[in-house]
Amino acid sequence: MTPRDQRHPTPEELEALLPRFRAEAGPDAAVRHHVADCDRCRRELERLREVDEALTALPAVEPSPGFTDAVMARVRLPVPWYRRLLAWIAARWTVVVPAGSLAAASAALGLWIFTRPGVTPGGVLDWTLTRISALFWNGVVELGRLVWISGLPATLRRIADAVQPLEAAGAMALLSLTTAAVGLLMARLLTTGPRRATIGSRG
Amino acid sequence: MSYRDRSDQELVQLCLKGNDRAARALVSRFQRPLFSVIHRMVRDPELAEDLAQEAFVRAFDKLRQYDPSYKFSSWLFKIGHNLTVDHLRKKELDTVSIHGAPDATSEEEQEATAPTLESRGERPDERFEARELGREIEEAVGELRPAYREAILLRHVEGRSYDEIAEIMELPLGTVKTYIHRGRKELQEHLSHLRTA
Repeated sequence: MTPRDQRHPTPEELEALLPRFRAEAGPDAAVRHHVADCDRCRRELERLREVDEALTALPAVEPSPGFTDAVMARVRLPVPWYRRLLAWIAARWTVVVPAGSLAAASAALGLWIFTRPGVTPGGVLDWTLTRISALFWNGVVELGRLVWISGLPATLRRIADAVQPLEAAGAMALLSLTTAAVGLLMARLLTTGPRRATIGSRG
Repeated sequence: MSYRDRSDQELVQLCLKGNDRAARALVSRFQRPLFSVIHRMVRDPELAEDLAQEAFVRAFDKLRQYDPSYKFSSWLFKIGHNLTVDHLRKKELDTVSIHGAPDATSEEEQEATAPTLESRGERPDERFEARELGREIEEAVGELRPAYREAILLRHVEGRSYDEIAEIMELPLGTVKTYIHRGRKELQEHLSHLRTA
């Protein structure tokens, strides 16, 4: 094959003849034959080799020794959800720990109540709603009496006498659960998460 | 397996789990090539460090958006490219001197901020020759248009493929080939006196 038989190779085809770029595309045998016969392409390849060697010989430039530390001091890596949850709890432990303990105690009490013989969820719900309603209105009435006659110990005693221990425990458990849930919700709504550090940008 | 032996993709996965050591390994792995390209683009070591740092910080900050089907290094270089181009546009540093930082006010400052050659154990006269040659080449590279310069550096110094360069510079493949071809031609002209000397 002679140069007249073939077009001149493109710069990329010539580049593939340089050893360091050979692995990338692999030189075409036809291109190699062409260059062997074509003075113009041989000169072009030689110039390309010179430029490549000159650029490869450029002095190495390194960042300062503290570069990695400086980067790492500014880097904020993604945080998995469980770590975010732990951090959230740690930042609000004064609310979360008491609320969680109260919720756990209430849950245990509720479990105990539901495992009593003859106690069914529907029955407990019905009973609780009735009792809460009764407690509320009794409370309103008793508070009115308290205000009227200022007899606080007697009022509390009357309320205690009017309620059976099991009923009171059930009502307390449900009230505690509700309180804990509302407390957690309020804590979540009223407090913001840890502030995200802003990335400094160069103007 | 040590962090140095892990692939880029493995290190990225560890970083996504919050592993600091994996992040440090990635920084160590790519700080030199990234800094090197940015340094030759802005011609100011301190600024180059700031831009390279910023590129790493942004890369880690947006790590969840990284598409593992691309090379991590290409993605990092792309962020570095965008930061550098933004900076060059703002400062209009189209052509800058090889003889140190553009804002250097004294000869000492220029000397201090000029790129230096690594000692490879040559004799003093060889070192001087190499230093002079290095300066000539640096000067020739510095005189290229920023886009040509970056494409040429990524191709010949960093050994990136055309596809990767197109990805990093956000340019069509044909444009990248043209830039590299024209950049080489300009370099050949700039360096022609070395051939005749």
